[in-house]
Amino acid sequence: MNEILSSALLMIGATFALLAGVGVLRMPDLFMRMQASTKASTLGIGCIVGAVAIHFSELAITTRALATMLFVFLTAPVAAHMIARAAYFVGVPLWEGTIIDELRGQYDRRTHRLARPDDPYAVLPMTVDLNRLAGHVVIVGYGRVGRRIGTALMANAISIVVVDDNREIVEKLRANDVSAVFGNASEPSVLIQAHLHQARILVIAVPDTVDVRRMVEMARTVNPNIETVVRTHRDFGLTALENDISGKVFLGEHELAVAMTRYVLERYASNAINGSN
Amino acid sequence: MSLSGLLTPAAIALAMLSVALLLAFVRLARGPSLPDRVIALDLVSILAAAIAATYAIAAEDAVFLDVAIVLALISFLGTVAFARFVERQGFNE
Repeated sequence: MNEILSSALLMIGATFALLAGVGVLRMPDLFMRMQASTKASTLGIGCIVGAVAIHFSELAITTRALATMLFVFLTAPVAAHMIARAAYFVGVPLWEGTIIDELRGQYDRRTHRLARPDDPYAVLPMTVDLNRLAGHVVIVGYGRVGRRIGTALMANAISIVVVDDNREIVEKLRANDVSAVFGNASEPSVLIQAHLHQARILVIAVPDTVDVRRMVEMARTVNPNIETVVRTHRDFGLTALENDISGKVFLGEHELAVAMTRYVLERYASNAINGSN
Repeated sequence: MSLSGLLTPAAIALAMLSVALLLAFVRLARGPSLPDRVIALDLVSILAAAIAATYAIAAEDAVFLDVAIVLALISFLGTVAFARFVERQGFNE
């Protein structure tokens, strides 16, 4: 009986150890290799040492075996975490297939600490009605332009989620029962908090002083099908931006000029009708 | 409880562990960055400890279990030391 049990544990342990070796060789990314190697090898050596304990069936040996298992189980995860953290911090490249890097920008460069405060304004509260978070419009920036867009959309019963990096604006919006997230919209974690993956349209209403292209790229990784409406004040790179997004780019000066020209033309037309010119 | 009866599973286990050791060495040689090699080294030492423990069964001598304990200890200390080094210095590859 003892023999069968210890043989079985031995086989299981050796299998996991072999899988650890295969994993560390075949995985495409440092962090995936680490997952395979540390988890599987810890279990493997645990099982093998357990097999030793059962095989000998003496108290002294069993005690040592248990101590070994306990030690490995406690220290292997710590070691793995430390090397993973150091590697991430130093900038080891992630696998190309990585879609979202949640930790990016979260590390304080100086103190090497994860700088993620428990900020209630950075996450949407649990009480938000989920119906408002599907097919909605995400508005980035609630300044002079975003505010007008937001009010008009809400007047048309379209649910919006606002992303802004000004806390007071987010506080005021939340006080008025408008879903708002505080953060930098070029961070994928912030876009996820705004439920971009379920949104229908993304309106970028910040002026070009913010890195709009990066925002658009991040938005596309989170939700490739999203339609984007972008505000810009630069003539340069318009066509490139339009080709990048599915949606429309609005050049502020152009729209102003169009609206003002229309008004002037109407005035001319009405003056002509009234006979004075 | 016969010696040869338990030798066979131990022999198979030793063979599998040796293959795993070989694979880890390939990663050690190939690993494009320093942390890759550190992980491979960590795996090598854990596998060495596992081989020592398996040999304890094969040779019916429990003293090899102590070898396993020491190797596991060293592996952990080594990995932690490397991790601190990598974090402090960065690395040039």
